[in-house]
Amino acid sequence: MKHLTRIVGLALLLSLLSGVFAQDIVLRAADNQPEDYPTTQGLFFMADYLNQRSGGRIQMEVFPGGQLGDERSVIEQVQLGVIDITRTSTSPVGEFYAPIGVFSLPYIFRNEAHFWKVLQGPIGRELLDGLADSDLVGLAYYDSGSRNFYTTEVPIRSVADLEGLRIRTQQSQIVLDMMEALGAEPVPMAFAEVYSSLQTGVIDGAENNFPSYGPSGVRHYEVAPFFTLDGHARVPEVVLISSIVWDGLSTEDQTLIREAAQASVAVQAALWDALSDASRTAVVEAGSEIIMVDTQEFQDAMGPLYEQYGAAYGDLLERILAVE
Amino acid sequence: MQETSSETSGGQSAPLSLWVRLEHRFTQGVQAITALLLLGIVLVITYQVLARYLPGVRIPRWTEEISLIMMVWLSMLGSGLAVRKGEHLAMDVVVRLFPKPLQKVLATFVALLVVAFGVYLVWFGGELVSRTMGQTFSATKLPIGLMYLGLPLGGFLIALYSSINMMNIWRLKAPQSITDDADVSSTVAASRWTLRLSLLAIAVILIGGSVALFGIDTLSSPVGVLLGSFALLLVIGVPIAMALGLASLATVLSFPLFDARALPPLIVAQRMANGINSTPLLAIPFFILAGQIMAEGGIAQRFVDFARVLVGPLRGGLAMVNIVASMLFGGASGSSVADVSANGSILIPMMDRKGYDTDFSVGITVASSTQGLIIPPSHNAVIYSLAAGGVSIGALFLGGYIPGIMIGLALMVASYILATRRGYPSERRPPLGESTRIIIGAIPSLAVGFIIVGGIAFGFFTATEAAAIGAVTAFLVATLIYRELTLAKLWRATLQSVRTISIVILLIASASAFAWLMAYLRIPTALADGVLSVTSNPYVILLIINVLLLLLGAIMDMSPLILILTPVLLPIVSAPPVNMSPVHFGIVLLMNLGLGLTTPPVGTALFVGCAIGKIRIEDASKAMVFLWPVMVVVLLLVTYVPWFVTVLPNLLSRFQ
Repeated sequence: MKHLTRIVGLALLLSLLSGVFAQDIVLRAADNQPEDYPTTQGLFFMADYLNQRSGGRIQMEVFPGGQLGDERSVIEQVQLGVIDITRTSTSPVGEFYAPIGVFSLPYIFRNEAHFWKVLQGPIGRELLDGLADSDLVGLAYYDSGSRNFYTTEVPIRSVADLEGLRIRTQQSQIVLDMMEALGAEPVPMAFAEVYSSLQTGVIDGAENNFPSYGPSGVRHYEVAPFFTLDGHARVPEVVLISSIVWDGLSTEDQTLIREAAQASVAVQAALWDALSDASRTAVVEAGSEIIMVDTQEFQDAMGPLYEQYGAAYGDLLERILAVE
Repeated sequence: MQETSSETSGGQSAPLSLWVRLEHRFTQGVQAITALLLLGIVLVITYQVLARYLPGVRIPRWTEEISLIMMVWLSMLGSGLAVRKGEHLAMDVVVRLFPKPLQKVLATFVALLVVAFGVYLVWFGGELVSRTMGQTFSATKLPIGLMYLGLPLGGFLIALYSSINMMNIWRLKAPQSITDDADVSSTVAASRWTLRLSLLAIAVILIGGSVALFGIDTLSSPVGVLLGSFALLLVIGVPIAMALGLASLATVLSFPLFDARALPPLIVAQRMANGINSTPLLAIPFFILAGQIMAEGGIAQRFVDFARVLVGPLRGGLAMVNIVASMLFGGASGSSVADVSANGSILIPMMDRKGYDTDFSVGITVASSTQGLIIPPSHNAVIYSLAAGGVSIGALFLGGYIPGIMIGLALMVASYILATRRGYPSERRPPLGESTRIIIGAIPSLAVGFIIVGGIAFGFFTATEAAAIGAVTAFLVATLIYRELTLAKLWRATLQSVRTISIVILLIASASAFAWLMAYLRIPTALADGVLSVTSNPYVILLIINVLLLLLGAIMDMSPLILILTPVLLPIVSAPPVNMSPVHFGIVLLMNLGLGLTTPPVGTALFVGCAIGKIRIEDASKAMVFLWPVMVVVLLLVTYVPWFVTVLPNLLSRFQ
């Protein structure tokens, strides 16, 4: 931290000196995850890349840990041009640009390969471009892994096992409806209280990704040892820059920033995989059971939900499902 | 209803003019609306809890969104009412040192600034509303703008009532705020020089400290504008909530002066709105309401009787009773000021009759009231949990038990020694039959606290739900079992709750804007680097932080300090080399700032205690001189031995 500040300080000094020759650009980037998290590290990589390739002319300051607000309000600030860049889940972006909300539909990605193929194909491109209508410019997608169920006593091996289980969920309409479509009873509650609620049996399970479930996260594996790999949600992360800022940049700088963002994707994905794998190994060692399921069966249960929500996204849902 | 008497006195002897009557009717209307909103939130959240446990009823999805909308409206409208009564927390200790005519001019200027704050909320709150009318809540599909509409409406009331206050400053003989508590101002006048010197010392330490930590370069930037304008606004007596908002606005506008890209003024309103758009915040109104109902509904008397049975026969019995009653009452209400006024008005006269010196009876009431801040439930713990970004409220509550009881025990030892030296009497325990009746009578009161803490700690309901159940239980106990809560008392409790809630929520809103700017300007990082460059010894760092908190706690109130300091200090103590857990730091912060409530120049608990005991602050300080060191020792113990805080949460489960 101290070291980093010194580097930033030195870099600032250098940029002050070079400022005599060219107009300096300082970009503020926000992430709601802590400093060592893969997404934040992705932004730090972007910052280094930009610093080097521009010869110190383009600086990027990263504000980790949600210092500048939650994801939704940071997006608002990016629209206002108060914050320049942010990494956020596409889920809150859906409130500003509806079509990108399609990624929040449960079970739309069959697996990780399908996920990347959609994002890096024409559909992913199209949705990034569409953000321009909302004063945002989409630079790149990041990996967010998958969210899965975990339970205290009843292992979930098929949809039928979910019947009547009380599962903690986020306060989001679509997730609540998904739970009901699967026959479970969704219980929205504050994340900090989930551990004790699992322990006292107020809820039967919760859902999240490996890093959050494991020892690097909130350690729910200690009280809920059955982890079902159903992958109900793979909501991608996205790196955004403010249109107000973007339009004031030269074409060369725009290209450089896009390049930096694209280059950071692989770094973030590798860090994510490492974190996720480490967490998986640790919970298995601690005695958690990882349960594989037929995800097709879960997706089939989404029929009514896809009908209810899919229409709002035009043909996007069908096109995503159709990607081989 | 309760307002009538103050209205007529405000209008002097002349017949009430049309305008005064109009203002009166209008205010009654606003009060009725806020009271209805509070009732609405209680009903909606109670229904949510019931639905969770009633078979066959789906857990409703709309309840929290509707409650949140009502809370924002309630607190913004209530902020206007609090301006009218001059109740927003302010630091008037410096202003009181000025000559009276200058005070009048300053009061006018402050009122103008408050009007400006209101106008800002009307203008940019309105812009925020129009920008968010298109966004909808996820369950109810109501526009988010509907919730934010509370901002311009509240801004209008704030500006309106502040303008009326401003006219009153010149119409009445003396400024309202000074005639209100003549006791305090005369006390201050007597010790002017001590006060001047101590304030000067605190100012020198704070200014010197910030220059040393940040460096002159950092301060001659928007950082300096933010900190400097905030300090200046506080010193001239602008209420803290308004000072936080206005300082943030001034800083945002100052950016172009420092060759930085201009920020839109809308950002302050956006951050304020965002700060209160948070469901965990819903717990706060209920905790405040529950405390008010308990204070009015005869619950305090039950605790005093219960404590008499327990510890009355000890030497200095009533002092012991005072401490134990605070432990119990604080455990139920979580407010030290409510504790001082409820317990103090019962016990201080009792102690006087038994021959206790008033300095001691006031001192022990005030000192023991700080337990209530730490022994759960405590709405300040909820505020800390929010400011710290979602620390488990259950863990904070459990972590507070042992430190709170430690303060109680330490004070009992100190009282015992003092009582022996001064020859205070002990109390005879009531006969067995009566003792049994007293104990049975106290059970419902004790249950209120246990329902709240147990419900949260064991995960049966959320903090919000537990607080709502606590308020409803307190109400039922006071009306059905004790039958002491009359309609008039309930109305008074409701109106007082509305204003207290509004004061706290408006503070949270403004502090969010201020904290956001601090982060944007990287103040926490700079401060952390500054502290670490001075020393990397964790014990010394914690000592520095404790001293800083004691100094700030002496001149400012508790909730604003929690909101302003948590985002700055938590990153320092939770990182190496200190590595403190957020729960541990929270308890240390609450204990330390609680101590500040008992010290002059600004100590709310001390002021209320002195008003009840009808003595001057210096007189009360004679006994406090024995009690402060005791509390500081406990504070240091808890700071350096995390076990006291962490053992209970760890025992129940492995909280974060």
